[in-house]
Amino acid sequence: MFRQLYETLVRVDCKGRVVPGLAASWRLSIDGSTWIVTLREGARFSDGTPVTAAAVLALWSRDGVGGDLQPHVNRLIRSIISIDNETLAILLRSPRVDAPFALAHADLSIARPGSGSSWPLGTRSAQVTLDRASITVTTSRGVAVRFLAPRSDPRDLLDESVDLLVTRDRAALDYAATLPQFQSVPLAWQRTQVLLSPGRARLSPSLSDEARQTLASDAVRGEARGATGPFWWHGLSDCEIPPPRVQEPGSRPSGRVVYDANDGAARDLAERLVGLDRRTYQRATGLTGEALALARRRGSDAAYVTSFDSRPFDPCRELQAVMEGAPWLDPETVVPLVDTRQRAIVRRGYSGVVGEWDGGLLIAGADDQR
Amino acid sequence: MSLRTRLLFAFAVVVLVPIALLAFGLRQEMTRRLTDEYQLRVNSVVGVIREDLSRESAGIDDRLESLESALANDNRFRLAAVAGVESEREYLLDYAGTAMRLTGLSMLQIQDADGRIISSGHFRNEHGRVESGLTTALANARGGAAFVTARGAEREFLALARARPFEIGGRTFTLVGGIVVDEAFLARLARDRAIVVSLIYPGGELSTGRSRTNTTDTAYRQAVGEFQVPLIKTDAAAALEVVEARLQVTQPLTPLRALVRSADSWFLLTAAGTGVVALILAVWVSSRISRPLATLAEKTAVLDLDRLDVDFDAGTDEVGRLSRLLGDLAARLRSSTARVREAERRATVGDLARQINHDIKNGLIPLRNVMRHLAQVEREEPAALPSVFAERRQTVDSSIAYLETLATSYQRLSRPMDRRDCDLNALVNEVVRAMQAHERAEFTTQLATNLPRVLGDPIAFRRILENLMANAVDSLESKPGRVTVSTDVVERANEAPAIRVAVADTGRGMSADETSKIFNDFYTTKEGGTGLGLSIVRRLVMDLQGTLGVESTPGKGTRITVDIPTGTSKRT
Repeated sequence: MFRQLYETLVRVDCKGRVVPGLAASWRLSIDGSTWIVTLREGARFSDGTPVTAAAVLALWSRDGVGGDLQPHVNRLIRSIISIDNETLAILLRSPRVDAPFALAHADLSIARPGSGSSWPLGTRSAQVTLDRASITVTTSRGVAVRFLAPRSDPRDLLDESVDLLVTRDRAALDYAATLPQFQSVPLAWQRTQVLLSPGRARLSPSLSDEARQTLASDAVRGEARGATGPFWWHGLSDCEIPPPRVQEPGSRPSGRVVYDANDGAARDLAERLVGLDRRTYQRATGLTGEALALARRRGSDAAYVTSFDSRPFDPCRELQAVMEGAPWLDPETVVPLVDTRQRAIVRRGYSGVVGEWDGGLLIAGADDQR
Repeated sequence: MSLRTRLLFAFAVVVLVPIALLAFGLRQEMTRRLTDEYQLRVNSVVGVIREDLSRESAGIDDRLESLESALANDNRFRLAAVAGVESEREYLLDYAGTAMRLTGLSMLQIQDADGRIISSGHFRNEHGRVESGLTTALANARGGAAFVTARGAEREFLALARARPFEIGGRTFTLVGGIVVDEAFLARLARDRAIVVSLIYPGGELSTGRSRTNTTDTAYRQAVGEFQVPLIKTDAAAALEVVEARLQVTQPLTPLRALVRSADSWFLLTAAGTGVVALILAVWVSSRISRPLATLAEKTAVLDLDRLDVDFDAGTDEVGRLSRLLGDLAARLRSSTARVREAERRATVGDLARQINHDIKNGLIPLRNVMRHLAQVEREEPAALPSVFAERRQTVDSSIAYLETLATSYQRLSRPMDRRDCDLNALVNEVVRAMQAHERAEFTTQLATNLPRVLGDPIAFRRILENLMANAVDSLESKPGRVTVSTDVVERANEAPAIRVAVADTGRGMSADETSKIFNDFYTTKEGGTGLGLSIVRRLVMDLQGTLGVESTPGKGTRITVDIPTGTSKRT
């Protein structure tokens, strides 16, 4: 729903190409360090206020007038200056020079606090209305798209005649296959389940492709495949990544495999690890929220099954975020396990859905330019 | 210890000891019987639990049998497990989970002939693990069922499990199913929350309560019953192990403790109430007894010869009889005292007559001697008569003066004793001089200088000295001897000093028996003696608030001391 309302300066399509968003064009500066971004002509917030370079600068800065950048912006951008009313000079933290991928990150969406609404004002033309069970986004074409909250059994949504259901639930997919009015479309491989093991040596043998594929077929319920390389966290030598924190000598792992309790694939994998090697992995424990974050930060467990974004806009930034959550982690010891993706169950004849690089879907009309 | 205290103790012993004995006996008997009852109950619960476990085991077997039938008709299972169709692999892996939930089991595995888990309901992703020996151990267990430490992904748990082999497509598979054994399961076996059921096995324990370990209360041992059940430990790090677990049923004797505590409370309450009643009763009874006794004691305390008019109340009880006896005694004493006083009066009159005779003789003898001497001089030397008369005139005057004073004293006999300051040394010298005139004994004096004057009647002092010195002379029995008269000042604690006059002789002395009687009226050791001399001395000394002392050794002599208090007299 997010991307029906908000835009970033650029977008990355399903083939990994950088396409215009709020920015109409971009180019590298002569010294090759700074991206000169020109805003789309006539870009406006949903209330009609023009989107100018100064407005972007104000939104991203702490003081609202172009001073120090906000923390979530500062993680991706070193500095930004306004050249004129429509042009910004942006120095990214990512060393990539082929395209300004980082500008497609959701953290850099252009949104400003709206008066009289709990929702920030975006730059898309869609309008949001709320009721008790759903959120409705109405596009400029008058198309009203209703977003329903997840149910304990997603098949109920199919019975409620939804037009689009994004899921990886096996029962729902099997059920949809029996319904002639629906077809199932695979989305991009979004997440890569990985194993993070404190104390694991770089030279420790990793899993073979065959073993990963076996894991995908024997352990994970739902759409999965053996993790397929190359993996973005390898070879990021140009990134500013702090060295892994050395674990306290003598600290013994607890013997448990920790996973995100909200992630079914992670659970399947953690339990499979326990089933395969009970001596090393004595039990699987699902955690959420702060407890999960704290356990990962401590690194006192035998292993953590977690998922990475399969194709992050900014691998450096992504790895830094991973390292912030697990400062003991040596990126070279990350063991890829399986890739997972969701499928879109779409009502036959329903059109106007655009898939994006990160697996997100954009409703036709939502990206109409104002 | 007062009568009241004794009575209180007596009541306490009589009342509280039987109550304590009764309480102890009842407590012991109640504890024994209830403990036996509880033990019987525990034993019956043990039997019921055995049957329940058999029933649960049979129920598991029924469900496994149903699954076996379902699997036999399940083509997808056949395709996956027998034909190895890859597309049905996920169905096979999820089959046990679905079947486990449908059958209400908590543990379900499908193993192939090698003991390899091909589908697991309680731990979906443990498939492929070989757990050889489990089905054999279950088959060999008593009744075909045993407790198993089953492993889930997140934790180990105990299950009551059994195995059921079946064949599909010529291949043997085994269903291993069970129900979870947790505190709720044991609580269902116990039925009664007061009963604690524990499963104790090497390395662990499961219990519905904490009473099993609470065995320190030795006064109330728990009723315990147990039986052994096989337990199969499936540890990934070690080989499968069959151990004996104990299923223990414990009946904490908490209700018994509460009952005994309640009984104790009631007994204590009864004892306290009885104690209070006994105390009140003891106080009342002791008051009834001790008050008349105290009154009797008070009346008896004031009873003496001068006061015999005490009225003793005559009651009907023992104290009354005692009071009446004392009243009779007082009446008899009153009668006797009257008679004694009459006799005493008569004796006193006699004494007085004899004393007068004695005193007059004492006054007349010098006169007679002087007259005889003068008659002798007139007869033999008439010319010397005037000079001799002049020489002896003092004696005559002294005797006449003595007789005059004596007459005056007798005249004043009924009046109180004349008291004035007296110089005892002078009196001693005067009496010694008078005695020397006609006695052959050797008189010596040892008189203290600066002797204080004493307040008293000089006639009485003179009579005391004369009687004591006359007795001393008499004790010499006409043999040569010495009479020593001495005066001294005796210091006394917390009292004024006393003048001590001592008359000692070297006469025949007295035995202790004689010494104890010499001051009695009419007691004498002399032939022809009246026995009144020292008796009069005793009375006079008592009138002067003085005291007498006697020291005598037979054959060596006697020393009699008279201590006269100085009172307010001044030193001379």
